[in-house]
Amino acid sequence: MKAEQYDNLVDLVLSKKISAIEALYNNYAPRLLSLCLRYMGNLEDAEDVLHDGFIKIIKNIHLFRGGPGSSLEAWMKRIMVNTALNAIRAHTKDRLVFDKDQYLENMTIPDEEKVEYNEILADFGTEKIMEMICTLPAGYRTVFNLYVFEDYSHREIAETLKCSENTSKSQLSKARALLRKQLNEIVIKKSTE
Amino acid sequence: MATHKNPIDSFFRESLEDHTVRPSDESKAAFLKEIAVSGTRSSRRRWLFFLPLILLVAIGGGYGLYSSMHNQPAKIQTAAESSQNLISSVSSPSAPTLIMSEQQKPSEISTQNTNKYSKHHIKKDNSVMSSEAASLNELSSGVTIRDASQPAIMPASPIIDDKSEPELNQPVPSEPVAGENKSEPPVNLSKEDDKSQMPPSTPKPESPKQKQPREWNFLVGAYYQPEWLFNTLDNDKYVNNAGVTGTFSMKGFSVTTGAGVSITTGYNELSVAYNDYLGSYKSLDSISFAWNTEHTALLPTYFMTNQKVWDSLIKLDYPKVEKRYTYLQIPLILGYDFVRTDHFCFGLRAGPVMSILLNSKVLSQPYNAGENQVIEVNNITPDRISLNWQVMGGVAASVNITKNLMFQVLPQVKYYFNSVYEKSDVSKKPWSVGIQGSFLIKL
Repeated sequence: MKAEQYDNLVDLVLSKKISAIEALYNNYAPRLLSLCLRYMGNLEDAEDVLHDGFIKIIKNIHLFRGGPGSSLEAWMKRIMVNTALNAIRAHTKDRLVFDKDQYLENMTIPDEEKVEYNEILADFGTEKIMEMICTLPAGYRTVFNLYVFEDYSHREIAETLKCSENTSKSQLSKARALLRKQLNEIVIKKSTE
Repeated sequence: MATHKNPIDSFFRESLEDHTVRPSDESKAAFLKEIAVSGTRSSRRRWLFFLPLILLVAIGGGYGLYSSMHNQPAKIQTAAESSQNLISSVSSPSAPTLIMSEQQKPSEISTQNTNKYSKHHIKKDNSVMSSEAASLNELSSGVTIRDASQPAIMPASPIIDDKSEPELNQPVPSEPVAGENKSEPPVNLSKEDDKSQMPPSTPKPESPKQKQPREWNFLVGAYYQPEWLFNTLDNDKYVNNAGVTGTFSMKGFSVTTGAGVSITTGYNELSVAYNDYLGSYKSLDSISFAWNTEHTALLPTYFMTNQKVWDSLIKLDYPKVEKRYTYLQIPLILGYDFVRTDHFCFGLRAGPVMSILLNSKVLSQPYNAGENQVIEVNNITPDRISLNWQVMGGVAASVNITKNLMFQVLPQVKYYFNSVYEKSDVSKKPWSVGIQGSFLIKL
């Protein structure tokens, strides 16, 4: 969507026109739901977060300052990320857990290889890739998402999640190790076929 | 900003760059429904905000209309009533001195007129008076006698023929004129005359000075004020205020103070660092042995204590505790009424309000870590400040319900200086809109 188009859309949403809100939802909800799914790990929770996030977006859209350099999608993504983090915190026993070391107990972490997964898994479906992220423990998943997709530094992650930078680093490293293991298994499986 | 040199990161980032998941139709429908409902709710709230003002205008307008209608037609009603009475009572005026005009039927004759008439003649000729008074008494014997204090209404066209009775139609002063009293001494009527007289219309003694309205007033009252607070930690907040006020007003200027209570709820967010509870085991403290001679063996006795085990990893929890806060509010409001009528006042009000924290009560369950080992508890939300200041400004509209009772509506905006509700990461101060409704009694 072009800048002028979404400027108009924002104006219409500001005037609380249902048709404009619906257009905004139709346009951005699929991408934002993908983001929510990455954080929440299941579609049901992701849809809940999308719902809450969109309500916040509509209520606070007057705070969005359009213009050069500001992206509506980036602004909406920030709101969704914050909503998702709050939702993860709110879950009783599924807070930002950093102790699922049992995942790594019997696992040999492969060395950092310069494997070009993009080439090998070119035809690998995005749904499967998303599934891999969803199966990560909540703590790993959150740090991995913030670092890889939201471009947070370890310092920013530590501030956001109120943990130490070292914890963030170790969580990311463990998340990568788990994902690498899964990817290697797929690569091996593919090569044997 | 993180850099992504790791192939895993790049792979996932690039793979999911354009990934989308279509939300279910139910989810979309639920969202649109909630938006529609919240839109209606907000517009309803807006109406609720203006409702007291509309009510005030309606009540004020209605009261004004009622009073204006009640004052003017009152005279018409009196005239109509008296004419009705006369028509019903005077069926055939037989008195020779009273000749009714041909064009107009007798519509109005008040007892006051007759008295004046009789008095006038008494002054000139007692004999005339006696006969005329007798005839008038005869005439007025069946007439409903109006109270002397009620104003006598003269008919527009002559009721009684001018030629025969010129004095009757002359404008009659409602109260005795001082000059007349001086020049003409009061006539002493005999006992007979007294008996034949109509019930005397005692003229009211005129007060030497008209009572001037008081220039100053002291009013006491009670108020209730719903308030919507914005730009706070808990986003929008609803606050209930109620209290009593005392107002001193003079020539349109007023000073109001008093005491009130402000009640609101809020969340206190905590950051709790804890170790997970993993379980417990029985730790062996000591063993004692006793020699059993019967079995020729040592019998051990174990002394054990229960030991809990916690994980060494520190986890964080962010529980929220709901609290209710009660503040004492002391306002000092200055005002000026630039529209002042007998029934309605309209003016400006502004001034500082001091709030003192009286009490905070935990409404939700306090945080319970269970078996987990709490290492540290920190307040994320800053605790409430015990003293803070606000400044308010608004317009006041008041309407007199009775002589001493007033109803006042004061829509207002408040600005919080060192607010307890202030967001730590936002430099903007909280502000609020509210509408105060109060009943005031003039002392």
